[in-house]
Amino acid sequence: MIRTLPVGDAGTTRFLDRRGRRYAASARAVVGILSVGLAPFAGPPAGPWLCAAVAVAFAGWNLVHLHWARTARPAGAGRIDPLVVAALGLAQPWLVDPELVVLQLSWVSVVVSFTAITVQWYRPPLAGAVIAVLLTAAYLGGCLLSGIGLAEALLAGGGAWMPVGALLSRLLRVLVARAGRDADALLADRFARERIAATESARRTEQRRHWAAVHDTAAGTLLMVGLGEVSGREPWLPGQLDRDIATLEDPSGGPAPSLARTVARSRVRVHPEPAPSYPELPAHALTALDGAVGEVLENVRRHAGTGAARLRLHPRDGGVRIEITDDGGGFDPAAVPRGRIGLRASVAGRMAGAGGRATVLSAPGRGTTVLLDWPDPDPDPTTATATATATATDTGPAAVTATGPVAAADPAAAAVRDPAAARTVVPGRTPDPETPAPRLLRGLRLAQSLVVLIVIGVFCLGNLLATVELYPVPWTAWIWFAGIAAVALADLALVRADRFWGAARLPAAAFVLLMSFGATLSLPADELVRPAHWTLGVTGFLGVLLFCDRPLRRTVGFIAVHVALMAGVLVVRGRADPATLVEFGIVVVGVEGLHLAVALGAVALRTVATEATAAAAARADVVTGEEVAQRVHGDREQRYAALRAGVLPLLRALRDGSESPADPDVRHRAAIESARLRRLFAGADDGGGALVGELAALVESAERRGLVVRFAVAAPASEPPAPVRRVLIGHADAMLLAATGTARVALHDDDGEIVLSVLAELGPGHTPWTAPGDAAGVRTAILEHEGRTWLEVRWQQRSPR
Amino acid sequence: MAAAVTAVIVDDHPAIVEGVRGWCAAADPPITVLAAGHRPELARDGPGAGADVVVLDLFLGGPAPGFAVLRDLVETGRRVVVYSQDETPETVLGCVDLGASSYLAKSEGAGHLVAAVHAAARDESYTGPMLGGVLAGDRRPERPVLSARERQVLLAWFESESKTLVAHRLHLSVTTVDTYIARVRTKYADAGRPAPSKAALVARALQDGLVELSEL
Repeated sequence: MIRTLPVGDAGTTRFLDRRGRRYAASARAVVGILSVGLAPFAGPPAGPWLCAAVAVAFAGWNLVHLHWARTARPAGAGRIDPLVVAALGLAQPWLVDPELVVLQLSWVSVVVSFTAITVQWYRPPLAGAVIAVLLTAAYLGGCLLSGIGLAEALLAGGGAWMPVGALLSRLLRVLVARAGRDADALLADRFARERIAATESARRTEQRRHWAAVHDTAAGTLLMVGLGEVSGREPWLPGQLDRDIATLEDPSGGPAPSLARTVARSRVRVHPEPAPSYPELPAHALTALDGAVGEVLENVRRHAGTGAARLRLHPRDGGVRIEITDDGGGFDPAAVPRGRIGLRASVAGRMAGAGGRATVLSAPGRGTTVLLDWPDPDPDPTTATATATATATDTGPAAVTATGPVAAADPAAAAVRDPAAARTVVPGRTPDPETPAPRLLRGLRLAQSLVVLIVIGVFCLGNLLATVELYPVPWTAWIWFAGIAAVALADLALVRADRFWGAARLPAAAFVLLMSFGATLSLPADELVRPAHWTLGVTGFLGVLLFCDRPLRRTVGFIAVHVALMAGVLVVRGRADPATLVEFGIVVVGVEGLHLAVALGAVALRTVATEATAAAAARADVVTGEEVAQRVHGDREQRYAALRAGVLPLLRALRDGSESPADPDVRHRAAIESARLRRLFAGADDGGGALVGELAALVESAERRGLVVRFAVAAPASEPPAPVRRVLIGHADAMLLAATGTARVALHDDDGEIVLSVLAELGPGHTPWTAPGDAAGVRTAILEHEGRTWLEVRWQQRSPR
Repeated sequence: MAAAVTAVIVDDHPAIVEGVRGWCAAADPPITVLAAGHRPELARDGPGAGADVVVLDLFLGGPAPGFAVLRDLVETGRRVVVYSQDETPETVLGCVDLGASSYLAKSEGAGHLVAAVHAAARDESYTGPMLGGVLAGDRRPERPVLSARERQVLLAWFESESKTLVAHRLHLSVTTVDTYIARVRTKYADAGRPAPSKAALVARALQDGLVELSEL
């Protein structure tokens, strides 16, 4: 069935509209064609040949109508169809034996009622209502012309069912549409958050790089002091210490952006050479432009396949446009679904954040051109938003062009445009809208349950009351009725309790078939395709209820078993004559077509609901990831402040000569501060998660005790659960507490296995080392060699089988 | 008695330059520093142009890595030991792909820089612990396929920074540990982009019996 949904831009709603129309038209075509196949054999007053001609014409019309629905061409066909069916209804006196009409065995009745039901899925509510009334009126008109009384036509002829069925169908359609809108809202929200997260992540990376570059100078000085390579008498030392102190005191100062340097750093050949210089612009604009140029060139390197680009700089009044073009493969922007994110967010985010704009133009085989404008030449919120949003898109090859208007209310685009605003949208603090999936599924089930109860309580009961004397033993009829009504009531109770049938499903299904079969057997053979045989039409509905949460083929299977049983009874009781089989076929096509249409609605809604739930889950992931990243970044800022408090006094003491690099204690302190500086700016931009953070804190505290710790994190390890983390940290802590001198702590991910290694010289009294017992699935291995102890702790994330 | 090795240091930090000079002077066989300073041109013009090995700081006064400088040096046949503060896998692997003989973290300098320069002078690669960890953790689709043993050796090297310990733990000789590490680099040289030093690396590996022709 339906596996994936298009996303973003009301994709779910569009999907439902398109699929709804297709399903409804397909169901209508199948029922219509099957019905007319039986038409000439149902004793038409105008004779079988005329009726066959009408049937063939109508079958052809169904195919035209289906083609219209599939190609989504809402031309005349859609308006003509109800008129064609209404004409069929009025032509009943010539097409159907009036005897069959009052026995609910008219194929015209099936077609008219099915049209009234399916039309609700592809016409607006008012049109749907008008068509339902028109069709009912035409059908009743046809009955009157056949000489059937109005009351008889309404009740025995099934005319009353038509508006009711149309109304129930509309109810289902409305519920599904609401689910679609909710899913769209969730998806839009998810993309908004992903874009914010990507932009924020780019901002943090940029800031960290800046810090790293600026403070590398102090880290380098302290490294060499710590290693004893600086005597204190070097002529360059005072100047270097002055620079180190100055950069630490003013971390905002960095080198001015230079286009030539950015181009030189890229791994792309850029023409012309040398690159032009940036014009005089505000510092924040230059920083944004420089970062964006770097990202664009990186994109050229990765995706264009040519490793070359042309760069042109057009000074504008008070601003600049930078145009970067490559002759690479290009791509079709329309083929890249909106709402996807990636590295591109950093280009659009940077420019938008500084009041500029990034535009990407590309087509397959035509290369890609990126325009970076500062200031934004068209600061109208709607169009600027469109640019930022479209450019924040990346599925791999290059980017996406900004075409077409985008809803100005798109919160993501607004956030990309203004990073300050994005920061105020702190994920986790905004109230999470409730996931709509369970509520909507429950709404659908409630509607289904009520529909079936109405059918049983009104139509079946009415039928039964009118025909109960036809049963040889009348009171038995009430057993079957009570059994089936009980299952429908039980379903309603389950819906109210928000539960499904579960393990009771198959027994209940068997029970329904048994009741249905019992009712069939209690009837005389003559009544098997007559209104008295009310279970023939309602049993399939109970299958729809019972298998509501299962794949569609289960419902189909249940209905098939039911139909086969009924057909078997006809054969066994000698009623396999053509006339009876035609009547049986008309009933089956009419009622089971309706049951399957209802089941299809449930499938559509369930798909939408699943998608909405997945979107909500994915959004929760993004929110969590962003929250962790923000916390890590906040921690880094805090530690950075603390670090300055420790590093600055040491640098100043070295500068004014109160401390000497020759002093072993000073060298020791320098080694520790240098390691801390490096650690602070190394590693993943968004931190390595809780384990890395806790290990870093452990290392910090070991360093405060005077231990020099080299801490290395290779491929970012996946995050173990808290109990495992505690065990891992406990091992490392025990080792570091016993260690003297220098220790190495290393963390890596060995094919899904987290490996923590601590290597240290242990102080006296601590050898031989006894590792704490294995716990929480953590395995330890110890090696002692040449006075050093090497502890390796492993934790397998997935069990091997 | 091996011939003296010559090197040029390109680094914008005087303390680093000073430290590297000190290690080079104390090396055996000694490493003669022909020139040192912060401009990449030092390695192309003047006395530095003839140096056997370039010790290159990847970040010369800016926040982004100087890949272009490394690429130009490698493409003109220079052997480069990258000596950098940046330990992010993307940067490290990028330099390996560009054909750097070695990539050492700043904190690894004292223990590994001299060995890396000596190896580069012999046209061999040198893999420090940090680089070992990055190569073992490489998840890029285009990465070469490493054997389980090769990964094991690389990770133990990353964890312990001591080949003696790796050898002891995995019951190998130190020479075999070296062989495994060198084989990994040969695979990378083979998988990486064409660079003059790649052919040299492969030739050298063949000569030393690290790889068989059939494995290439």
